[in-house]
Amino acid sequence: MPAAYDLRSNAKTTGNRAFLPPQYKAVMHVYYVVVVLSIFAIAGYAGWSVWLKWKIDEVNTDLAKVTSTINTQDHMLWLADWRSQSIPMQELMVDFFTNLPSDVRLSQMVFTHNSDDGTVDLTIAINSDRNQSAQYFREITSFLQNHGFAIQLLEQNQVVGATIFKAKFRIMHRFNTPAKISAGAQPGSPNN
Amino acid sequence: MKDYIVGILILAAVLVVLAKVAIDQVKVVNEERHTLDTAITSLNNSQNNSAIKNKQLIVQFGNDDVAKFMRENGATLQSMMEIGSINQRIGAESEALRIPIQEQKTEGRAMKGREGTVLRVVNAHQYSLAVLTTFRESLVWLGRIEDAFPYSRVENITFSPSGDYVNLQAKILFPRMDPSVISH
Repeated sequence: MPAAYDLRSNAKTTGNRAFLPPQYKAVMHVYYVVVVLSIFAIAGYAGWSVWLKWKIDEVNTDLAKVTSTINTQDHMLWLADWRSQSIPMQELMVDFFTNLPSDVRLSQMVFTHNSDDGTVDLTIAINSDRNQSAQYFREITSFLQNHGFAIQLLEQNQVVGATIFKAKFRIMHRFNTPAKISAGAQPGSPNN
Repeated sequence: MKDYIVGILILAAVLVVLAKVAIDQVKVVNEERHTLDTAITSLNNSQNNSAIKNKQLIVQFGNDDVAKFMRENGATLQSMMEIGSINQRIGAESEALRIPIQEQKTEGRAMKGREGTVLRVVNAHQYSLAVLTTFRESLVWLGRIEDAFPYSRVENITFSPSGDYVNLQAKILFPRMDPSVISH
């Protein structure tokens, strides 16, 4: 019959009695201490891990909320920029045509806001004699300069029946939220 | 070989397994600590970033109440999401003024976002329209559209006289906000 040992006491429980050497008892005590400490350490680290996971989830939830808020803030700031850089077109046009001298024979007017580079292209065809047209064009550019547009380029061409002026302006200021004119003003006519 | 050697080997194996489990657990905890540190750093940076943006918002809007802004402007922003609702509103405004729309065309367009933000690109509807009406009514019509869509931008207008009327061609941009922002 094979021998069996109760290692906790070094006692041989069955078979021929052959006691372990006394130093094994000390080794076994050290072993038990190590095992118990290991179990405590594992349990402690497992608990710590659970707490860390909970904390990470909590921080990530907060982070997601802040990220969402930042995304909304970015959109709001973009909208603020967008709106303040959008020309209040009706207001400008009403003002423009109201100030246009009554004897101007404007054949066509193209007003383009280049969103990508913050400039404005103006093309107008004035159906008056050349000197008068040039004078009107000076008045128009002066009007736009007073509204915060700085001239970058000017071009003039004479075609049959009209003088065509082209100008590029840089938008120099941010626009306030326009006070809308619901019923419109009493502007002059583009073709008079 | 002494017969108690087997028992000792079993105990040693148990010890090795325990040690391995403990070491693995320590590694897991260390990784989680690192993850938590990173998350906390990100959170702090984001909170600082958000605080800076709040200051910019106060300059722009007079307050930094994101929820209030969305309550007040959500419907307006929502109305620019679908080209169908834009088309319906423009049609209604034109009918109210008895101005027939001569031509219309829609296209998609991408515009650059804002520097220093997560917003890289903003999509927009580009709506090209042509109406034929009196000069005065054309300006009223333009104002009605700007009023109906305060965040739209009239990017191009062309006035061409046509007899007693004026042909007005307009290109209007309607930015489309992120739906998650609108439902914030």
